[in-house]
Amino acid sequence: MPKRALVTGACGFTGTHMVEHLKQAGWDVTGTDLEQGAHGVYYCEAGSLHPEYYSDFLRNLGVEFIPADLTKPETLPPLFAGAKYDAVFHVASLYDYFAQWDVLYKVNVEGARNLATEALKAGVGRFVHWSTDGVYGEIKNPPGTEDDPYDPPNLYSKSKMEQEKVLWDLFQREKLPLTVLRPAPIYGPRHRYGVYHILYALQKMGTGILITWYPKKHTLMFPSVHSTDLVRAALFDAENDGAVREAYNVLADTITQPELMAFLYEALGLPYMRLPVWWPAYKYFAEIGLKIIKGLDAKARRAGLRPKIDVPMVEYITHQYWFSNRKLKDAGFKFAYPDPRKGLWEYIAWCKERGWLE
Amino acid sequence: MSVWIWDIPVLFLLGCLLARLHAKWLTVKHPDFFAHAGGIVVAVFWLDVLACAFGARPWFGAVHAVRPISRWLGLFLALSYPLWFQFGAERTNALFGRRPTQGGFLWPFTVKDRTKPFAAPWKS
Repeated sequence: MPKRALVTGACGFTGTHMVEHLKQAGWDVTGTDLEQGAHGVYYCEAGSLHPEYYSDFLRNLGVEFIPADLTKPETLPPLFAGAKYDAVFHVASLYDYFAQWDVLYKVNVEGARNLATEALKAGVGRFVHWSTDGVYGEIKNPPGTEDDPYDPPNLYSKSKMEQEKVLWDLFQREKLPLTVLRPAPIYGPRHRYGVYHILYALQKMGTGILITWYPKKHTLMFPSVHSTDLVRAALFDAENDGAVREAYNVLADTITQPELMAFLYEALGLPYMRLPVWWPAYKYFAEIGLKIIKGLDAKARRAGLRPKIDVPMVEYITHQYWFSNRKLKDAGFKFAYPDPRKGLWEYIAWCKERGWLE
Repeated sequence: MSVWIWDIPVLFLLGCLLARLHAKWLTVKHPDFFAHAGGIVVAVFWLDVLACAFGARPWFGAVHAVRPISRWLGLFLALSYPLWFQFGAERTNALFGRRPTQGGFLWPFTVKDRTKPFAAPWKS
């Protein structure tokens, strides 16, 4: 008898990978997401770059699809009617740095509460929840671990923090069999929001600057995870009883930003110049650059447009986002892409084949 | 040896101008434009230096005043002409982009996107 799983956000980038991986592992999968037409209600699709909705993907995989809106509790009972799920993979989220707080709260916080409440009623075996390592904010004593306090630096991460709090509360009060995954920025086939923006921006600029910081102790890191590793980790945790009530950072071994940028310039075939900088001077000018980008964000909003790059993405130029994956590794998980450069190389090739980075 | 003191700034600016022209409109239809134009510009400047060295003044050299400098310094400057031209072109490309699909370093600092979207060349 195959195990049964419900995957929320099943038509999104990560959701499609989760569904695909579960099918390959022999699970019986039900996918849920918004109806395609309803997708635009929550996403601020003023720009050309936004998360994709892969409606045909589930159909091609032969996966049962039940549309639902997490913000509308009345649409959720059909997901659980007559089904006893061994695991619910709550992938769905409004992942949009441009979104306003009320929409983020409605979808991410209230939506998670609605889903978890229904899951509790249905007596699901496990509830694996997608959070983000953004809930930690900048790490003061890197690398950060799962025990670090919440300090979300932007609205999206703040909504994920509130979402986690709601679910931990349900874990404590109602015994929700919860596991929380805190992935770093995710990339992989079909990805088009987040890491893709770095590649897109570099191609749009056409020339790179490779900044190295002195003293070297200030070198900024870049956390990331391949979609394959993320869904493998989710299934690994869902099948591991010891993972209940645990949170895991899910990210490949972190590399430095100069290492990442040198690799990206080479992989994209872009000319670049090296610029060694004294850290205090860099920090000063980077803060000015960040303020300019924030100003552009405000200007774009007033004009009904979307800025080229969302502000939280630019914060990587001044903030230290360095996390440890030790806990997941110690639990026995082995990464398929421990060095992000291997995964990024494949992802860049995938993008180029589709003309996304020509 | 005599050279025009504005040779290098003018070469730099011509590099900027021709690189921008090429990047904005000609990369697809005339991909060799910049190489040809650069070759012609540098050849004209070298011809001018050569003519001055031999005491002749071609018609395009009549518009500027030359300054006498040492032979070796003049030779060094003349040989560096392509580099100044290329330097101007590179700085322009870095700032504004080297293709119609690119906006250079200025791209993130603009609200309205004036660059063309990406498209697989074999699909267009």
